[in-house]
Amino acid sequence: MARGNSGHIVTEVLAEYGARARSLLVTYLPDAEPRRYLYDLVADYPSRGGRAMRPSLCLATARAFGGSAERALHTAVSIELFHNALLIHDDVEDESQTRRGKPTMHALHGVPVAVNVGDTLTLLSLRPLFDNVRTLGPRLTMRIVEETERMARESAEGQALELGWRMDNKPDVSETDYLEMVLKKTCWLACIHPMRTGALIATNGGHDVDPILRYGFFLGAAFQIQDDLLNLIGDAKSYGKELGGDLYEGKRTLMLIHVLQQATPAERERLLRFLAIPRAEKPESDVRWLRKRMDAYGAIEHARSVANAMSGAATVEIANVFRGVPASRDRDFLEALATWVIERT
Amino acid sequence: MATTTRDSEPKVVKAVRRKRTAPERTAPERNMTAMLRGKSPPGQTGSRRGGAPSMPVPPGAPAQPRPGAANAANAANVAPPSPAAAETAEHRAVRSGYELCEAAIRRGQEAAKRFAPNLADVTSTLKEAPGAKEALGMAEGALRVWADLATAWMRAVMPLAPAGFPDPLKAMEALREALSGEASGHATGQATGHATAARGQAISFAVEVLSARPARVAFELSREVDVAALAVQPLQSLDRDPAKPALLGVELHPSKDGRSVEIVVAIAGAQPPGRYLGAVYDKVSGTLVGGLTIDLKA
Repeated sequence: MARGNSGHIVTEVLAEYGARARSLLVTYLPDAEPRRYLYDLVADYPSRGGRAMRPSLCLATARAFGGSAERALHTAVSIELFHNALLIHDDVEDESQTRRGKPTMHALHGVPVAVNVGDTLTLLSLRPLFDNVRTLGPRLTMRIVEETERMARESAEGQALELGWRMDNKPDVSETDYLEMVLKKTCWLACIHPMRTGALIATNGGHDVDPILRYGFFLGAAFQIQDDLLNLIGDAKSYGKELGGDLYEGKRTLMLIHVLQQATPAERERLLRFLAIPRAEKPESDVRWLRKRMDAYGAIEHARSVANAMSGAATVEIANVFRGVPASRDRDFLEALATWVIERT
Repeated sequence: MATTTRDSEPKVVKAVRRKRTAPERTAPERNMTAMLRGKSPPGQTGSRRGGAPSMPVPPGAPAQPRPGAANAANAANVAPPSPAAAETAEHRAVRSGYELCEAAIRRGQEAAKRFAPNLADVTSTLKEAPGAKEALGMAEGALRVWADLATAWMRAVMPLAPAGFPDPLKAMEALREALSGEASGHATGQATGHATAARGQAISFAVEVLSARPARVAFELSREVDVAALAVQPLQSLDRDPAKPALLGVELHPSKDGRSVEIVVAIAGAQPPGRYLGAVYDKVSGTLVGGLTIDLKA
């Protein structure tokens, strides 16, 4: 895959596979009562767009391994529904205000309704997996369900790690702790699971999916670090979430961990006091101070370097994933993602 | 370093030479990614790394992101630093990443071992479901028709074969027997003529083929094996056509008692016709124990 071409092929494939997944996804959104507090809201986040990276990864991996996108489509839709469900719950847990350029579900309708809508989307994500029986047969369907259960458990554990750090105002989160949290919370759902299921569907469960875990981790970690960076320095319009929100949330990003490790004792004490304050009460002046400390200690550059390293490792690992697999547009897309995740704005 | 003195005869004085500590290595590391993951590639033993990689990964990452910075060539070609060299933040992060991945893979393997019997029970129950049975029945029916036609054709042409030519009718009978529900290893063993018993006991085979087109499956074991450790590599096309993708949809499912193995072959609609061969190996000892051949018709 020639460099410099990554953005083009990634955008093209995401648009194509995203449209395919969305066209099936809408058929799983009930057109029924109760609409006002449930089914109209269930359709809200999916209708806001998004990159559709997860379903695209599933479809592209299935095709790259010689399978058809059609056989993987229900699984791809299930992944996207589950992702939307988790977004709603994450927004509640993180007290986020903006999602995909609009107010979050709980900001619009309150926490109780948002939690119920998230629960419903989780349940709806199961239906396409059941429908897999018709195309994949019982054995492979069960394997995909088993993979889904693991992904969901890993995601919940990752979220618990991060919530625990904030609840306990943990002062000594290391970069390894952060990467473990990212592996569980981000990488499984964003990269590992879509690719593993795509490969399993294409090969009727015969593929060794361990190399995919390594690629999915490095790809997802680069993606998450870039996401954290964009939260600080991104363009508000294209980012879709509130800039600086992570600082208000006290989110343990690589940048914050770096400052905690580099700060003087007095700065560290002030920082820990700041992190203990509830989000809504955090003084803006303290947020600005923290942002300046990040610049002073080179935290942004440090995170960029680590994201770059993760992208490099992903490029190495994708070669292991596709050893012996013929070249194709889908394979080019999956290889290009390793660079695209750190170039996106 | 050599120096001279003021004596008439030049005198060579050896300065104390500073040496770097020799790396603790007992075998060459030729596979970069395996090295970074903390394990030796197959065939190499004696690495000092047992699980966690102690050598930082060269990430090829500059401080500023740029297109192409994250580059496999960079990652693979940077000389590994000496053990004494300070580990950079990037190296540390990637090393931690590999350690986390290996731990996650181990957890998955342990969970698979723990839950595999349950899953087998569930799938066998599901196979009894009316829809599943019909789907499998259709595939088996298609294969049975093909087997009948192929047998008739072979009966017609076998008299033309030279003396000593192996009798393919035996293979067809074996396939028919497998499709009839007996699916015994004896039958498949006859088909290949090489299947052997493990630990002095007969291994039975069941073959499940999911294909829209006729496919002949031959499974051969050349030595005694532990059925639970059997695995098959992706089947490669034998006609050396690089455009032909490997046939990946093959699974071996050993039974709980280790006395039988189910071979599931799923062939994608787009798979080009031809003969495909994959090595059957013992994944515990890493040794080759046989082969699986699939002849896929157009």
